[in-house]
Amino acid sequence: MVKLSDTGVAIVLLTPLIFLQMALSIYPMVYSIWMSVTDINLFKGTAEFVGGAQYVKALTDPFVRDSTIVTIRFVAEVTIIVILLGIGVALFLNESFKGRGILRVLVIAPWAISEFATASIGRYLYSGTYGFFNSILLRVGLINQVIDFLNTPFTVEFIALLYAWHFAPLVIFFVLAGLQTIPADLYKQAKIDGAGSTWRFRLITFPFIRYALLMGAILALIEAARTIDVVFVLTGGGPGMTSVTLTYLIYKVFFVSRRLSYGAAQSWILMIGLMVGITAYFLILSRRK
Amino acid sequence: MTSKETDKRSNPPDEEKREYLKTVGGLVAGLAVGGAAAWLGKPAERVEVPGPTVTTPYYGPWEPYETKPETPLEWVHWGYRPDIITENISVFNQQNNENVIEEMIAADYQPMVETKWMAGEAFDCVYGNDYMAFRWRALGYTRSPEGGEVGGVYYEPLPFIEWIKADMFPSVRKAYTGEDGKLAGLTYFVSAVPAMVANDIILEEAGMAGEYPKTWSELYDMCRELKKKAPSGMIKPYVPRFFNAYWGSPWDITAEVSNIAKDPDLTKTMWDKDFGCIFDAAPGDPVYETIKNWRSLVKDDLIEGAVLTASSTTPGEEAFYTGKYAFIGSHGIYGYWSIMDPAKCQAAGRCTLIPPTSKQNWGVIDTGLYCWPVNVTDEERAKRLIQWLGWKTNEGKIYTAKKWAIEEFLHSAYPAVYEDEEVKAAWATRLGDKLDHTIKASSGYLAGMGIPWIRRSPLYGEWMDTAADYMAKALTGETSVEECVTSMRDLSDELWQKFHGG
Repeated sequence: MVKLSDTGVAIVLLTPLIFLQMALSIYPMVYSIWMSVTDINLFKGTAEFVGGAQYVKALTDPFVRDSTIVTIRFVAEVTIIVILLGIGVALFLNESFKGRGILRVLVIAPWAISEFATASIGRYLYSGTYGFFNSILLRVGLINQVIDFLNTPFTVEFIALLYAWHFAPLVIFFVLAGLQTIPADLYKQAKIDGAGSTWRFRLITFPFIRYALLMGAILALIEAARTIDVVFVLTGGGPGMTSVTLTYLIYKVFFVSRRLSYGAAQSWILMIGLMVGITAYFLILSRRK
Repeated sequence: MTSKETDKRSNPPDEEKREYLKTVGGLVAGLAVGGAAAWLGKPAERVEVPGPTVTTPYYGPWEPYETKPETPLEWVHWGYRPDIITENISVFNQQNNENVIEEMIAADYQPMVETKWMAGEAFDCVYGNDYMAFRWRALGYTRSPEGGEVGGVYYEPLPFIEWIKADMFPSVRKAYTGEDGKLAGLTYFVSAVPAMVANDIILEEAGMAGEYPKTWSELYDMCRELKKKAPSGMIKPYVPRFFNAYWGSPWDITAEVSNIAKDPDLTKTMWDKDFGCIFDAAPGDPVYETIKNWRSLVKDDLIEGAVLTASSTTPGEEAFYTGKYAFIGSHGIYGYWSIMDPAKCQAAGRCTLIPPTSKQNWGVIDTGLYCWPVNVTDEERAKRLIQWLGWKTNEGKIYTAKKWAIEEFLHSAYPAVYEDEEVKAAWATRLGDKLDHTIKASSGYLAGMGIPWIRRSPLYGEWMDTAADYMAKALTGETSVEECVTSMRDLSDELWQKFHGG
């Protein structure tokens, strides 16, 4: 019987995973890089090497420019709302009150439903013809004419609000987990020392939830930047092209138009943008004084 | 396939069929010989059969297999009423002692199907819209039911192809015919988009009962009049199909231009026979004028705004179902079926499919075909499957087209379906006294709708998607109509170079 060394065991255990990772991640990524530097014509069955031409085309394409602006706006809004909701609701749920257990379960519900379902719900909330919000606003007399929420200059904001509602529960629970690790004595001592609520939050609470917020913010950034369903179902990128995010544009270019090379180049631009964003988050939130 | 099965196909039919053959004469016998030879997989001369026919003669070794084949045939389809598809497969399997399985592709249908072919997968039947069917033939993934060479290999035609063609609406046959003069597939359904529907309640309220527009410009005039009259209960006069998807505004621009210019194949107004772009951002150009009209509709607040923030028909349809809109450009004639459903639409029973007149037709073709891949599991069995689905059953009856007509109000390339009493009875349950009018109107749509020649070019698929973006921007005023049309033209020229240049 062959006895494996520790290294041998590690190799045996890791090899299948390495192959899996190569097949599912590395190979598609390398392949997409190759696609992005070629001009693939499925019809003619050709793939001509064009170097960085697809990237240059993408960087000068007004559709890419506009959708990048929409993406930055959308991601920033989602992240801010998610962080604020995450802190606020987690602090509330950390308090002791009757029914806290039930409320904690209910709070997770929006995250448990799919993005597609979230968007469908959003359509019924925002619709100008049969929407819930319009119905309420009309009944209480705040408006006398319906508002077509998704057909206004604030379409992106309404989408961001809905998406943040869907995503916030995850961050709420990250933060809540962080809050529950804080020893109650720290707050008592801070109170004795005369620290107000703002100082208590800054000096005690925030350091404990800093990493939860970092993870939440990174996840919110990645998830918001790659979401398609919400935009697709809620607005189809409209009115006009005012709510087309970069991911939605890539989806259209790659899968619908089948401009494979151009779509691949756009994907890498998005990927680089995301990596820059994530690095900035790490630098800001993991900085220690 | 076993040798026994092969023998069964090559042997003369049984007595009853022999008798039948005698009665239909030499012409059909000639066809039968050709059909049987084709069935054997031997090269056969194409048998010319005069058409059209009223009754299609039945012949064929359409007996069920003695032994159920072990290897399944595979039918790849999209996800519309998969329950009916499953039922159809079940009936086919039962009638033929067959073993057909299905694969439903729920999203990104076309790229997924093409990826399967690129990966070398064999399957035996696949749904496709007309432009997909033409593209797949051009790429060498599918063959024509009329047979011919693909990639240097000769494929047999379906044994009864001339009869099948003769049974079809001439306009649909033309729409299915590719550059080589051969069909791209057999009919699953055929419709026209948009099919114009009027809400009679709103028109009555406005004192315009029974007044239906005969042309696109009359429709827009009526919308303006309705806005002025502001009948009670009306939110907006019109729900168009301006949503941002390749099957939204790009289909509608081809529909409206072909209708107003009386240019069904659009070769005089949008793309010539060589697929070269001939529209331009110039006053008087029908494309330019149409988008200008659309922009005015948006600007003058005549349309439901939800369609501008939609990627499908749903938001517009849901708005119309409230019964608070006068007109809708319905997605297909079958869209009228949902409008007439009291469980869905508050104006059900009080809406009318606006008929085409001699002044102008409405819509552009929207169709699905049963396409026949080159790379199949079993040549002979696949042949039987495609013919059964796209034409007639073992007993010589149209089955699938009738089923879709009864269940979903889907129209077929075979007018015989609308003459069927069972179909009429099913439609009457919902359409009531509007049945005859609707059958007449829908037949009018199918006879004269736009059947764009450009759909034979692969450039059309890519053009549609990006053109939708250009039109979306122009409709909301993000860009001018001139910029929009120029961009659409430039895009078409660029794609022409890509697919047809050099």
